[in-house]
Amino acid sequence: MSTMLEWKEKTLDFYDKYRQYVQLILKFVLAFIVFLTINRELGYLQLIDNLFVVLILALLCAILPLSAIVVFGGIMILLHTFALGLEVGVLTLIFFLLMYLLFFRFTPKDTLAVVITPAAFSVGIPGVIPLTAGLLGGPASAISVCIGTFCYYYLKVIKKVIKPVKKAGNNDILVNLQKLIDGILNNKAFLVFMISGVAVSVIVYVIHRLSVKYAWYLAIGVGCVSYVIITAVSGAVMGAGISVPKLLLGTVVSGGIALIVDFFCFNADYSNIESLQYEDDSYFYYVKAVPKKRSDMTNERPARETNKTNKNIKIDKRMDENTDTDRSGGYSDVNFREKLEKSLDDIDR
Amino acid sequence: MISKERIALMTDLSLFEKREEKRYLRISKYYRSDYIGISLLKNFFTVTIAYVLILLLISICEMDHVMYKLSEIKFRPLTLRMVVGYILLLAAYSVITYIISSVRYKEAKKGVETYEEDLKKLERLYKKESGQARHKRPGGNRS
Repeated sequence: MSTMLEWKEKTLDFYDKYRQYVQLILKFVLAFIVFLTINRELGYLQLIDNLFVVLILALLCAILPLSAIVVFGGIMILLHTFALGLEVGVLTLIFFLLMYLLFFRFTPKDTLAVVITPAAFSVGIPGVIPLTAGLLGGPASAISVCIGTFCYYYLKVIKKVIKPVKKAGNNDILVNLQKLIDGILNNKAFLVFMISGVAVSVIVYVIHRLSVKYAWYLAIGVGCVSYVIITAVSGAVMGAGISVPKLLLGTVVSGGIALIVDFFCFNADYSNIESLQYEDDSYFYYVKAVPKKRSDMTNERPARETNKTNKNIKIDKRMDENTDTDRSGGYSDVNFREKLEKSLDDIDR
Repeated sequence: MISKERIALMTDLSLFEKREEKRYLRISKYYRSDYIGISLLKNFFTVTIAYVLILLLISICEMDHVMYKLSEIKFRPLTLRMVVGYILLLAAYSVITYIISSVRYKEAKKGVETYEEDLKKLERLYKKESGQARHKRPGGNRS
């Protein structure tokens, strides 16, 4: 157990030390997977269906805020669908507008679900989205899970239904639109994953807030089991043709990823590190504020509290070049205490 | 001199400025009723646009049915259903918007008040430190 804790501390120290680089790499990998998935599922516009373009966009996303992945991903989906057909593009635009107007304007941070869920589905780990949404988000995250699932099946229906129709030369706009909408609404797998996604995100959210020991682990465990059961049972009842071994494997991997999320977001709350810079008359302050949730290696784990505000502040101070104070380099070897006592003695005499 | 208390305070202030200043200060400039009123007005426009888009989608799905039974369609009940649907959607979203904007306003006010209190505290700390520095001047008290 102590080896585990030491390993955990070492990992956290490594992350702490190279946080900026690790975040860049993680954002790059996420953006790369998302854009690659979009190109693989759609890929109708040759101009952007290119590994070089995907690499450049992923590199851009690595240095930009996380929301850039959503913006670029959304634009790529729109361009691909417009390349396939005007009606498909317009319908995609309407769906995106509806998503924003009816939901995402209240929770803009959840927009990431729109692009991450299709990526998770295509990698074969759809369970990771409801699990992490339940752990990190609120009850409204269940709606984000629904919208993300809708996005994946929308792309799938375009590929399965509209692409063959277009290839066959059927350009009846109205018929194509009806086929597209019917294809989504009558997709049983979409309904199954939407039901299980909503149920699991709510279950995980409720359990991880319970004031019991290891609530997060319990939430992840129960979430994984209920995801498998709900998906398998409702899939069998509705005849959605969901492969159970694939589902099991995907859920195990999803559980592992959820544990990693727990590791970073609970144990040290390293996701909320802030690098600040401010100054006063004498100093420039370069402060790294780490939310204090990390346990000491020798102590037991503290009770899980969500609203701790104490911060472990690490300060790297640099002095204003024009300020001449006793902390300047030139005075480092002067013993001021000794000099003060000597001068006071001289005055007394 | 570096003071841990002062640095903690400055860190809190800087965190607020980095994370929430733009949004919270903007919100706290309004009166509560004005802020909620503006939010509800925005909500009215967004819900109207969304409802038009939803109607468009429904009409595309039902186009065959509509064309086939065009002569049998009674327009008065249909219009009534559309208006009732719009009012229900608008009412539901207005309630949600009211609750969310009230909570946001309360949070913003509280955040800005704490920020201003911390600023005053910091000012007092600086004054106290500068006063102490004057008293501690070498030989200053002994002459």
